[in-house]
Amino acid sequence: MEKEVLLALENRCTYEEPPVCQSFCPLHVDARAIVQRLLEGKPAEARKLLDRQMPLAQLTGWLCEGACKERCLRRDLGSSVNMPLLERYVIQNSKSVKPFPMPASTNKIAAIGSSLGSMILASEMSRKGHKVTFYLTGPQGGSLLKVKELPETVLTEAWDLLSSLGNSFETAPAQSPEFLAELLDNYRAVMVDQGDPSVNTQALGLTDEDLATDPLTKESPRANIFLAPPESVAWPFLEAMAAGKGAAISLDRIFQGVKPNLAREKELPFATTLVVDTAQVTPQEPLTPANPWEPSAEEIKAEAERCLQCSCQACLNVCPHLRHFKGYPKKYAREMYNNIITAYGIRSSNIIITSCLECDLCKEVCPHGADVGSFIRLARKEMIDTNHMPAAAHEYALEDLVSANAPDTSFFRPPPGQTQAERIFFPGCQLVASRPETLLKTYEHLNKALGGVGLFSSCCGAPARWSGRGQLTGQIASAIQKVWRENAEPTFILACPSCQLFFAAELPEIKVVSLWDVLSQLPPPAKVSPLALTLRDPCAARYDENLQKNARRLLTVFAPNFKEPHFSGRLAKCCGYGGLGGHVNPPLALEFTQDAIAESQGPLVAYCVMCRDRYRQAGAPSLHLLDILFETNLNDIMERPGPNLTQRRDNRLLFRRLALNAFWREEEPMPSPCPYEIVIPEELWAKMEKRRILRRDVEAVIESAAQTGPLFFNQDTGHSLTNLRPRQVTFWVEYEQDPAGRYLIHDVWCHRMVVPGSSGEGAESPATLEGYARTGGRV
Amino acid sequence: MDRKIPDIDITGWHCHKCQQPLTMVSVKVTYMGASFDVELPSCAKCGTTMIPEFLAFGKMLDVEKLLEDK
Repeated sequence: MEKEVLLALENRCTYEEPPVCQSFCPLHVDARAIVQRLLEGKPAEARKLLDRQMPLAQLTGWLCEGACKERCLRRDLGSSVNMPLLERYVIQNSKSVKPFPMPASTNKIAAIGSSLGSMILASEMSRKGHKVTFYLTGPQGGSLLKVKELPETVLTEAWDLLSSLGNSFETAPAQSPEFLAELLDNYRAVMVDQGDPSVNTQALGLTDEDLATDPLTKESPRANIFLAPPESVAWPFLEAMAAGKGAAISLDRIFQGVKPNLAREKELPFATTLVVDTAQVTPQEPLTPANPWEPSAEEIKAEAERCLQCSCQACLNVCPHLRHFKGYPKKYAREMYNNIITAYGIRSSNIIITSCLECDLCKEVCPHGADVGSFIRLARKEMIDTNHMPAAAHEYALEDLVSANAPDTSFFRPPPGQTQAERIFFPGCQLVASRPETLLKTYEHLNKALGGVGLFSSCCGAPARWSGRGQLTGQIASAIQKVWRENAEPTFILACPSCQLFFAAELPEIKVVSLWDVLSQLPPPAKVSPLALTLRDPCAARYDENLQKNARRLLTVFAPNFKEPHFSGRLAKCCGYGGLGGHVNPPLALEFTQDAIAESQGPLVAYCVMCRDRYRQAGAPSLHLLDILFETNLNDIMERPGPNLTQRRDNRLLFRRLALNAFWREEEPMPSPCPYEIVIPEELWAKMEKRRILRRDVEAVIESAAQTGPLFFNQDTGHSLTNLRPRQVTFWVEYEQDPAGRYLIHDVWCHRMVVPGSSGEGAESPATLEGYARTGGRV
Repeated sequence: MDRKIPDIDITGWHCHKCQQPLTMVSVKVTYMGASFDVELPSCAKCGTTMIPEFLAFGKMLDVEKLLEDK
């Protein structure tokens, strides 16, 4: 995978971008984190953060003017968070750690004046061993002396601290160009502190041009002169602090021979790209503290609680996968990328890549369109190409695909009595597996109304595409294309939204139309249902407005009493089946299912059968749109669970035989049943389902045991135990034979590891359709 | 995988072919090219090994997943 792919996704995710308060603050104080520490009752921790960004915090904490309040997202929702109040509380309730003295350097700096800018410069420089000599042009403190609320002791302590760090004070002679020139001769640099009202720039010979400060480096155009702003600027104290801090960074760089202005743009206030959704925020007015200069803990807690803790939660709010792995796209992409490029060691993020449902809702809700789904698709392909995809991840789903396309299951027939089809109805493997009888009615209706409709029962190849297997995907697409060409390129009528996505991506030359589009233009096959339903769009129809529209058109006629939840259309939530996530990580997929049905009331209706069956599995009465059009006992059907894995396979076999018999008068018996009577208790089916064990797997083990005897027997229970390893899985069956010769199954389990007596390695998982077909895809 | 798996209940289990009770024997299990010697219930005579359910979906599954992610 190219690193650019990673960077493209990383750049779109702005989760790590600062909140607006921090980006707009001249000092970039991390207000959000400070509030968080206060909410946790840890003012000392908040102090550490404040000390890091606000030099001389014991003093400056009294002086912050709260530039952030201009941009705070609370501003129109009850008024901005009062950060200066919180900062004052922090400094009044914590102590800063005295900086560790650094070895003294020979670099000496002079300051003309003694207001906040030069104090910050001295504080920052002396921490690095450089000393500042203040040339006092008036009362020590400059404009700070005008702040009557500032306790005198705070200012005195600040001066004492600066003295203790080795900074010194001289009384300036009369201000003149010569005085400035003398300082420039004797010091590496001179700061002219315009925040001190007694500093006279004119007398120092500084012209307006000389005072045009570089906003980044705080340098004057005149060499070696740095400037702190006058009192007339918008935020006199904050900007003075930023000037002192910025000048200190410039000087430090100059001393080290580095360009002072290199890559410092983000030191200025900037517009953050973090997007915060405040739609659900309730306005909340602030409390007025009894004494705003000494707020109480309760007053601070109340104010801190008004902070929105701005962060972008857009994708996290809608995606259980992102929440489960505690990531956001930027962090996530880095983890997955590192996983892919790992040469040796554990690829611990495989599970992140394989659990994603590829539903694209995160991209849809992302304010910057961060496309995790495409990244996942590339990552899966890369894992396949480098042979690092865990074999177990998609094995069952691919076996199921091969089974759906096996000669005894899949079929194409031109319309009865014709040799070529004008249109081909392609219901898709899961609809065939879930609704064989309803599909017979559907096909009959289509052919009667339209004529010339052929029937093609097959899997489109979506599972192969989801699993990242390009070769297998191409093979299946070619097989479909062959039928299309042999029939003079007819239009395909598709009933499954995932098939529609697959055709659009892999078979764009084939003209397709949705079943719902066709049915909405035909005579009504059904009566109007009075049921009050909630429509759930499938994630596969997210970007197919036509498909959404036609499903609604049919519902409007046949079940007009339906509602649409908020997460509909482009915001459709995945049912948990997409991207084969349900096979890889069933508990997480179930979270998706529950999340999707959580906002719905009453029975659901879906036009993807996997959605329908998964909603029902999670407890929600659900219908498929075809049920409404072609069935009558809807109240029963909505409560009926979807078929289990064994029944799905059986239904595909059944559909072929029923359809061939009903429309083409072809007789074809079902495959030979197992010659032994096998009894699987009801409670064992759920376990088998979870373990992806089919009835035919159990039958194969028993057939083997019947011929060669079991491997083990238990003399206490009378149970036998045997195994069979038909492929890379060993199936174990514990059973007993009753007097009538029936095999009563007690337990079934499986594993992939090879143990002595489990018949060797078994067949490798083949990578092609032929390969899958060769090993049967079934036992 | 640990060499010893504690608490495997093999009460009553016998090898069908050899009619021998199962005993805990060190056997070599393999997966994806990696081999481990583990004590598992086996027939002392023919070496056929039994994998109980709790092992298949416990420790053994963990190791399988670990090896698949390697």
